[in-house]
Amino acid sequence: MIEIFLDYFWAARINLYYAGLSLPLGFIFAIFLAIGLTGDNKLTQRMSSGFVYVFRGSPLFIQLYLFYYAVRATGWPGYRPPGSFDRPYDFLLDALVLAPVVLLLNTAAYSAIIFANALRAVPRGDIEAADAFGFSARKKFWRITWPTMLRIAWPAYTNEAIFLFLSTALVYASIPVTTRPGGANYKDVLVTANDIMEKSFNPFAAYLPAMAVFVVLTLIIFFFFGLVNAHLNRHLVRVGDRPRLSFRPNFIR
Amino acid sequence: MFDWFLGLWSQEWQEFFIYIAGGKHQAFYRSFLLIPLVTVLGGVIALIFGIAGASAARSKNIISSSLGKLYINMVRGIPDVLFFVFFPLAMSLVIKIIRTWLLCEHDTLLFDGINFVGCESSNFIGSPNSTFAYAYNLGVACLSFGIVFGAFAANVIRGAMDAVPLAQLETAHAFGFSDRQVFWRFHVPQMWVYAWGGLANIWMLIIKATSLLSLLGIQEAVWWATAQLGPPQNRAAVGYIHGDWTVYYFAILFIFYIGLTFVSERGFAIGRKRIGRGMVAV
Repeated sequence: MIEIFLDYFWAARINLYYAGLSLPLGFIFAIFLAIGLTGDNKLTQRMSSGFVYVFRGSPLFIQLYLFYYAVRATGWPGYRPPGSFDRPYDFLLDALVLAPVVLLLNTAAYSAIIFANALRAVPRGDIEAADAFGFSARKKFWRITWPTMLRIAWPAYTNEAIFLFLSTALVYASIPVTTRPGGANYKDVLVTANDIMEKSFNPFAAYLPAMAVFVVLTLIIFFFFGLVNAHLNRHLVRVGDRPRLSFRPNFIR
Repeated sequence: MFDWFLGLWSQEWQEFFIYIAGGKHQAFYRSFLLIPLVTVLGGVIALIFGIAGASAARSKNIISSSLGKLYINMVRGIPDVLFFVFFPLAMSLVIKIIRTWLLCEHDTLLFDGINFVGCESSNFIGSPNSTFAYAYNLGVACLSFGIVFGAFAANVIRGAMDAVPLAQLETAHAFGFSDRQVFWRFHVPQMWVYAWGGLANIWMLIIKATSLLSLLGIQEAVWWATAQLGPPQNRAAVGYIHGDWTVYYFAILFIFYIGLTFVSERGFAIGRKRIGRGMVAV
């Protein structure tokens, strides 16, 4: 039983890799999208809201499939149909390369809404005060808008990050597991659980530990996001006034 | 029937149209009907679980309230796909164990280590193509959707129940209504208004989760696209020779889901206006 847990924790490094790569990049992209959504330029507004609508309106599962087969259909670089034995290594079809791209776009769309709402919620008085002090536009953004927005958005973004982590379990449900020459193991928790299921025909032994591993890692991620939240709100002295992090995700993919 | 239509096109296009109107494609088109069907059935089950979970979590009894809270929080740390893969397998294993007790000889081994053993008659689904297997899989899929999204619904409904003004309920009590009457005639009807937005979100979630049906062993659009229609066709006997079409089928699915989201959003916006009628301050 202990070995199963160790296997799962070892396999979870792949899930953490997917989340760890796509989350920071998605964060940056989401900020640009949020600025586009709240900005005055009609064109960028249309483009960003269209992107957000498409990626929020369709399931991640279908997105992963679509991207995988779209890359395959381009035939680049060097995809050959199944049956040819000297199949070259397809860099772009590798789940370790393709999946973070899809996850990045997906999480960017969901977080963009969070950040756009936070941008709209930045108190008007704060910005007017900065104007009155003669702040330049750049200084105003980095000193006033940015930290306030981050503080408002952080609790919701924590839930988004956790749900991105949980949805990394979908990757190998659509994209085949990476196989490299040398037979290195790139299985994630879901695939490891499926393997144990195939051997044992016992879903309780195969999937309950996998769920437990996800719960544990979720709590760890939640803890670290809580530390960041405390840092963002460090100037607020009275404890009762701090926006408390609560684990209340209201969407999944 | 479509001769006049086909007459407008060249030989290759005619073959193409006949192919995409053929039997396998008709099954593919029909499989789209599963999406609204499972969404509605799963949604209804989710609503039942949601009301049960929410009233359990809000109850004064410590045991039922902690059970309700455990249920609400359970799904939050678990990937939905893991639960969807787990639940049907767990369900069938439980049924198999019960059948082993009832139908097999007394000393039949249940488990060897963690491996399930059982005997011949512990297996109950039989042929995977039978109507029973199809109905069973679909029912279990709806049930697992109901359990997962019921937890989300319970959270929404709990919030909505807390949002109903206490004065309304106290007034009802003062008029001599019993607890049960207050719950069903005042609390629940007023709760809908507050729960509407959250339940609309859950509806969207269920729609998106229907893409996972193929993982639950149901032959729906994703299964047709990946396993049947997408892969390259080289034999003329199939009707049409084509390369790898999988990406086109997924493009159709992608657009279909976005369209479904659009339609649902419109529907909920209309419903929101109607449900708010007669309420004082929402």
